[in-house]
Amino acid sequence: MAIKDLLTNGPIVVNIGIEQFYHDLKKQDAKVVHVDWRPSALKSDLLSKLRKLREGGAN
Amino acid sequence: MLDYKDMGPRSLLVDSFDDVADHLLIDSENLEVPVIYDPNIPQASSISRRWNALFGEWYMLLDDELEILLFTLNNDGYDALVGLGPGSTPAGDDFLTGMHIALRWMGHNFENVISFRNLESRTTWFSSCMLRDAACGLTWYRSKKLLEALSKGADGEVEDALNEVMSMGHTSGRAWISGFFHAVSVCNSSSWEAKNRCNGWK
Amino acid sequence: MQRVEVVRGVYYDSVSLMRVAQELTKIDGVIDATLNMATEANIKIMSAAGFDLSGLDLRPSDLVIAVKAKEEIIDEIIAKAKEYLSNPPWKTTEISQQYFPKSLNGALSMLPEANLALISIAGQYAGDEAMECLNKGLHVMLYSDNVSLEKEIELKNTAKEKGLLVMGPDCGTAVIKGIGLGFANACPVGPVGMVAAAGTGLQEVHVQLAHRGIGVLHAIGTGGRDVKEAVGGITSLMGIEALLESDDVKVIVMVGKPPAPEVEKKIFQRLASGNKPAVLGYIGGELEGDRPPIYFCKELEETAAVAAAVVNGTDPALARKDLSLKYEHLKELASHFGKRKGYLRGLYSGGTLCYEAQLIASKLLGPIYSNAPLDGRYKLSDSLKSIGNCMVDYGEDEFTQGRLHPMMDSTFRAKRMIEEAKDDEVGVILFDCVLGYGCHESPADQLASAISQVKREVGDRVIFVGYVCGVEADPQIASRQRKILEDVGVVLADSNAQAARLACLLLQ
Repeated sequence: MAIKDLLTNGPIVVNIGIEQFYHDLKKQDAKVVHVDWRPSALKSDLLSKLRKLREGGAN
Repeated sequence: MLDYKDMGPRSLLVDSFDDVADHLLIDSENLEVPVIYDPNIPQASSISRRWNALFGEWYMLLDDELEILLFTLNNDGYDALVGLGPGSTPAGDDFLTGMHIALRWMGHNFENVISFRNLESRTTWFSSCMLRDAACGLTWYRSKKLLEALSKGADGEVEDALNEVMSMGHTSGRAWISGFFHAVSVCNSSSWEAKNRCNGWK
Repeated sequence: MQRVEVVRGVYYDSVSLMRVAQELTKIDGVIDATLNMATEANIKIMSAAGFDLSGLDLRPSDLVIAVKAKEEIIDEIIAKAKEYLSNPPWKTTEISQQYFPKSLNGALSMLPEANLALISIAGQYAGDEAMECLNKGLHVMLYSDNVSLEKEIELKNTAKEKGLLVMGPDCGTAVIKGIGLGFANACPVGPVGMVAAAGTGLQEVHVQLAHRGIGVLHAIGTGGRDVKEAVGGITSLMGIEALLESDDVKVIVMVGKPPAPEVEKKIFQRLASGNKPAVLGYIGGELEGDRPPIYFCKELEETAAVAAAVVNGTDPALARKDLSLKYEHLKELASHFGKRKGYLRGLYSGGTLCYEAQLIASKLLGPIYSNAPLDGRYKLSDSLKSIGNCMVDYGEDEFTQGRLHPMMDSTFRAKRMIEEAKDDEVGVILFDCVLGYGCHESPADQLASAISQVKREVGDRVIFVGYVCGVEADPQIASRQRKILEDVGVVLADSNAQAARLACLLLQ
C-alpha cells in the first residue's frame, strides 16, 4: 500500500514553494528537488501575449 | 575565465591577438596547459525521453530580467537576440550559444538560425567568439558534461551538470540552458509548426 | 509620507516579499514597508495598516509595494525594493546557483522516484497544485493555509481512493521515518508514531518525548480541520491505519484539539480494536478516565509523560503523579523569584502552545483575553492592544500577512514586548521560543535584545517567563538558546505547561 511504502522508504520530496524547506531537507540528507514555482495563470497569460504579438505581424 | 574548467577552446586565445596573430606561433605541444577535455561537441546517440518535461520548461526560464529575450524572440526572431539582454555576456548570446550547441549535438547544421555576418559589431568580442566556437562544433567543459549526462540519462549527473552550467555567471547559465532546451524541445516536438522550424535548421 | 507602487503581472512568493520588506525597514528613515500580492485579504490588511489603496485597479497577479518613509528618500526606497526583488541582498554571490525545475513534470524527470510533494505556495493556487500531485501518485503535505474546506474534502476523498495521504491544509510540521518536513525538531527516532492536528502541539510532544529519552519515527500531520465533522477525520484515520500496520511503531500518540464526536468515536473504535497502546492528547478535552491500553490526556507535557511511561512499561499514573509534583514545586520557584503585581501578557509564536497556555491560565487567573480566545467573549478587538490578562498568538492571519511567520522572525513580537513592559500594569510577560528546521537561526537573540532593553528601562518590575521548545541537535542548539535568554534574566521553564503555570503563580 502506498502509505506503507512512504513510511518504509522515507520521504523523497518534490518541494514546491518555500526554498528554505528544500535546504532543511538537504541538511537531513533527504532526497529532494525544489520547484521554482510560478502560477500557471501568469505563464499562460504571458504565452497568449506572445501569441498575439506574433499574429499581430512581426517585422 | 574563473576556473580551469571554464577555459574555452584555443580559438579564443588566437583571436584576441589580432595584430600579432600572423606573427604568433603557438606551439601547443610545449605549452604547460594540460589538455583536460575534448571541446568537440559529440553527436547524441539518443536522447532519453525522460528529460522531455525539462526541455519543455525552456520558456519558463526566461522570466524576471530575462523576459526581454522571450518577447524579442517571439516578436523579432533569433537574430534580434544577438547582443541583447543583461549580463557581461549578453544573455541573448548565451541563449543562442546554447541553441547552437544543442543543434550540433542533435546532428543539425543550424546555418539558418542567425546570420554570422558582422557578428563582432553586433555584440561583445567574447560573445561572438563563443558563438563562432559553437558554429565550429566546439564547446566549454561544463556544457560538455551536460551533454554527456543527458546522453547517459544518469540521474544525479544531469542535475549536477545543470547546476554547474547555472553557475556560469548571474544570468548566463540560465539563458544558455533555456536556448539549449528550446532547440531540443522544438526538434522533439510533434507539432507541425515545430517540425517546420526544425527542418529549416537542418 | 507614504507611497504605494503597483507592479503588474508578476509573482513572488510571500517569503521573498517578506524578506525584501525586512531589508527595507532596516534602512534609516523607513517607518514601515510591506510587499504583497494584491489578493483581497492582503488589500484589506494593507489598508488596515494605514496604506491608501483606494482608486487602484488591483488584481491578484499585481504586486503592491507600500512604503512609509521620510519624503526625501521615498523614491530611493521604492527603487531599492525593486532591486532587492531581482537581486536579493541576502543571497551571496559566492553561493553557486542551482537549476531548479519550473514545473512538477520537470521536477519528476529529475527525481522520478519522488513519493511526496511538500506544497507551501499561496493558498489560492495550492489546492490545484496538490490535486495535480495526487494525480501523479504523490502523497501531499499541504503547508499552505487559506485552502477552502470544499477543496480539502475533495483532495482527501481523491487521496483516499488512491491510497495516498494528504497532510493539511495548514500542516506546518510532519516527520516521516525520522526526517522532519516543514517546521520540525531534530529529535531521535524511536518506537512512537504520532498523528497530529496541531503544529506546535506536535513539536511540544515530540520535544518532551525526546527529553524523556523517547524517540518518534513518524509524525503524520493532518491539518486543523481534519477531525471536524465535515472532513470526517480522513487523514487521521489513514494515519492511524498506517501506524497500526507499521512494525516499528509500538505506541501511537495523537495530539490536537478534541475531534467532533463522530470522528472521535471512529478513532477510538479503530484504536481499541488495534493491537497497540495509544495515548490520545486531546488538548483542552473533557474526557476523564483512561481505558488501558488507551489513555486520555488534556495537556501536551502530560501526553508525552504518559506516552513515555507506556513505552517504558511503567505506570502512567506514576508519571502523572511525578508531573503534579513538578508543578507543585513551581510554587516554591515563584516565591523565590518574588510575586509581581499586575497583568499577565503572553506573546506566542506557536498556536497550540498559546492555546494550552490559555487553558492553564484561565483556571488559575480567570478569563484570558486573546486574538484567538478560548471564550469568544474575550476576543481582542485590536490584536495589537492587550486587555487585562492576555495572550496573543502571533501565528494568526492578521500577523502573518505581509510578514514572515513568527517562528521564522520574532522581530514583531520583540517590539511588542517592549511596548507591553512600558505599561506599569503589566507584571509578567510569558513567551515561547520555538526551535528546529524552518525556524529562525536564533530566535533567542531576537528576543533577548528587546528583553535587555526592557530591563534597562523598567528594571525588575516586569518578570519574563519563557520556554525554549527544542533539542540540542536542532540547528539553533537548545542549550545555546537557553543561555542567551537566561543571560538577560529570563526565567525558563522545562515545558510549555510549566511556563504557563509559573507565569500565573508569579502573579498570585
